[in-house]
Amino acid sequence: MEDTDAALVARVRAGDSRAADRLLERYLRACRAVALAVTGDEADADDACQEGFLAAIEQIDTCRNPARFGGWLLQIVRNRARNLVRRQAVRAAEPLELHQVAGGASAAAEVERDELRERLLAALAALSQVQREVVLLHDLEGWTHEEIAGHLGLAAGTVRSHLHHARRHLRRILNEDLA
Amino acid sequence: MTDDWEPVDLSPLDPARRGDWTALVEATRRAMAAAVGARVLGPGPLEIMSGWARPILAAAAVLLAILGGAEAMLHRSVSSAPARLGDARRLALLSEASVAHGRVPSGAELRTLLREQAR
Repeated sequence: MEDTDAALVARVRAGDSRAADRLLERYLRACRAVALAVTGDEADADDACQEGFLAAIEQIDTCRNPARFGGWLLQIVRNRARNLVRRQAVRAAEPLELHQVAGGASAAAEVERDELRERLLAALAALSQVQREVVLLHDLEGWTHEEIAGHLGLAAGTVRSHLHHARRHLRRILNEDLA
Repeated sequence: MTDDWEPVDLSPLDPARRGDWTALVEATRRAMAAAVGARVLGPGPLEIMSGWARPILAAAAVLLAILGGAEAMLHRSVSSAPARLGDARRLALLSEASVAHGRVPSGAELRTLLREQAR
C-alpha cells in the first residue's frame, strides 16, 4: 500500500527516519527541478534543494496540512532558491540570468553534454518561472498534470496550457539555436 | 499540427547523470536522519539548559521588581518622616500666626502649605 504524505509526515514527527527517506525519494528530485527553475544554475539548484529539504524536515511540525506536504516543501525550496539568487545578485552585482557553471571536463562527450545543458538552460531562461517549473516537473521528473496542479496550486487546465507553451517556446529557441 | 504535446528531451539536465548528485542525496539523507533522530532522543543537556534560561530570567525579573518595589516603599517611609515633621511645624507656625493676628488662615495660605507638603 502506498504511504500517503500525511501518514509519512506523522511518522517523521514521531521520529521515524525511514518515513523521512520515503519523502526524500518522493520529493528530492522535484525540489531540485523547482530550484533549477528559479536559479537556472545546477550547482545552486543542488544547494537550494538540499537546504530547503532539510529545513522542511527540521520544521515539519509547522506543516499545517500534512496531506499537502509536497506543495509546502516546494514552497520552502522555492524561497530558499530565491534567497540564494538574491544574495548572489547582491554579491556579484550582475544581472540575474540563467547560466551554466563552466565545467572542467576535457572529454569530447562531456563537452558536448555541457553544451547541450547550456543550450537547454538558456532556452529555459526565456520562459516564465511557472512554465519552467511545469515543464521540468513534467518532462524531466515525469509528474502528471494533476500532480503538478496539486503541488503548485494550479488548475490542471492551466498546467496543460503552461506545458504546451513552454514546449513550443523551448522547441523554437532550440531550433533557432541549431539553425 | 505541431509536436508541442510531445515531451522535450530534458535528460541532459537530469541530476542523476552527474556523479555528485548521488553524493548530495546521501549527504542529505544522513543530515536528515540526524535531524529525525534528534526528535526521538529529545533535547541534549545544553538545549535543556538553554530552555531554562527564559524562566530563570523571568523569575529574576519578577524578584527584582518585588525587591525594587519594597526598597522604594521603605525609602519613601523613611524619607517621608522628616517631611511630615516639617509639615507639622509649618502648620503649627501658621496656626500660631493666625491666632496672634486673630484671624482664620486663608485658603491661599492653606493651599501654599499643601503644595509645599506635596513637594
